[in-house]
Amino acid sequence: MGQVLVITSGKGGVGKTTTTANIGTALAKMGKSVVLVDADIGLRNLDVVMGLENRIVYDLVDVVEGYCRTRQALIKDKRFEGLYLLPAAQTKDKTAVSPEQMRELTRELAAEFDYVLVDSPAGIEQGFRNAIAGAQRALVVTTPEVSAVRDADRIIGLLEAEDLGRPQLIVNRVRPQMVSRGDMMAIDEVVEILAVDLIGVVPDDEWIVVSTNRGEPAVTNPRSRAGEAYFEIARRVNGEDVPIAPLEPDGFFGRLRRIFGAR
Amino acid sequence: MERIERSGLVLRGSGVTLDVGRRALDGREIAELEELFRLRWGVHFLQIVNGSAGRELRLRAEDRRPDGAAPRRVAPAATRVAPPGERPATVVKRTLRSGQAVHRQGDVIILGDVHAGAEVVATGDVIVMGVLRGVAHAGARGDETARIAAFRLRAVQLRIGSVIGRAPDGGGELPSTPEVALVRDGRIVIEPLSPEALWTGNARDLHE
Repeated sequence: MGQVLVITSGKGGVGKTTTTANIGTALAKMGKSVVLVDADIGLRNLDVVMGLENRIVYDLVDVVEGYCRTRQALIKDKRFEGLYLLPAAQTKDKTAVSPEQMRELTRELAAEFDYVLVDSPAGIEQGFRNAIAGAQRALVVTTPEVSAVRDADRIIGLLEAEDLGRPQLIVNRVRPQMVSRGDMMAIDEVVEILAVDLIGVVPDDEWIVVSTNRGEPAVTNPRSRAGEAYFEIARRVNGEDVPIAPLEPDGFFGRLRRIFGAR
Repeated sequence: MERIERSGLVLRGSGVTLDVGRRALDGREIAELEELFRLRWGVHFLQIVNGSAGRELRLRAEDRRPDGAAPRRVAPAATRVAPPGERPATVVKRTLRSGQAVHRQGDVIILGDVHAGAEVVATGDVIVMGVLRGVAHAGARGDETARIAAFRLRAVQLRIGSVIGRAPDGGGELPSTPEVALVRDGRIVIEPLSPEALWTGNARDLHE
């Protein structure tokens, strides 16, 4: 029986979808069987980020309404064996699915896959309720901004109320230079405010824009710092003990190391 | 309107439902539209609805036919039953944005663009007088003689009957001319738009 993880944040635009795509792809790269579930019905994006938009025939709503079998709606990734996507419907809204149906669906998927990653919509309403319904574990994404941290705190409270205790935190889009100048919240500060376990820190990385537009997750790009960070998070998700190294401003040697592909 | 003309569409003998979105038309505007459709394209009746909910605005064109023929009742928008031998067509006079969908019996003509994430499903043909980036499904009841035509065919996926075609990953140069997609040997092929490409093998529409 696999694990069901929800990736959520409260605030929009902090990188839930990017995180889901990258951790999922990294887990598949590690040889795990993974299904990514886009629970953002009506505002689907995960298919675009994965570069699989042109393959969508059936979607999550079709599955829960019994229009098709779950297998038929799963889209096989074009790069990695064992990686699948269950896309959201675009012409419906959040009310098309109930938490009970999501619980049922994720249970069915967990029987077949090592990891079921559910990409939650922003907000705390029904879409969020649906996304967390079947999850055993939650990853909360935030950026080092007061507003995002505030929303993450709200979400963590709701997750705890749902018995999704001890959610793990990803601090995304960190700019080490700004942190060292004191212009950006430090990771310690964020962790202290939220009082949860940190599972990873992802540096701000221009490659993310490129990879999102091309539909190629950053973990497939050895030159992406964010991709590197996501790969380490995936290993931690998988239970490996990978220490969280502090982010260094991107100096000459750091760049040199990456050019030679050192991990 | 010019775009309908230029496309060389055959609307003659068909029943047309004009979806005007949320616009409220006055009597004169309705009369003008009615006349335009009747004289130019030989469309038998014109029904005007507001939005995809299909609420009938007013006007049953047939009730005011100038030739004095008996008024014929127009089917309510929800059922859209065409007179025998005719196929209903829906004209959607707006751009469909992501998440918006039009599902209709018969042919669907979009006077606007179909954005990525929008959906047009018709049991007959789908004709887009603009850029098609979203999903179009023609012949949705299994009719593989149905066509999808667009001024710019940019869809990542096309469906005709039960055949699905998708754009190659990575894309490439696309022609800046109108095109039509049709099924040939069980596969979706795309050709430059011409009356022949649009109607070959579809003659029943013209002679029935």
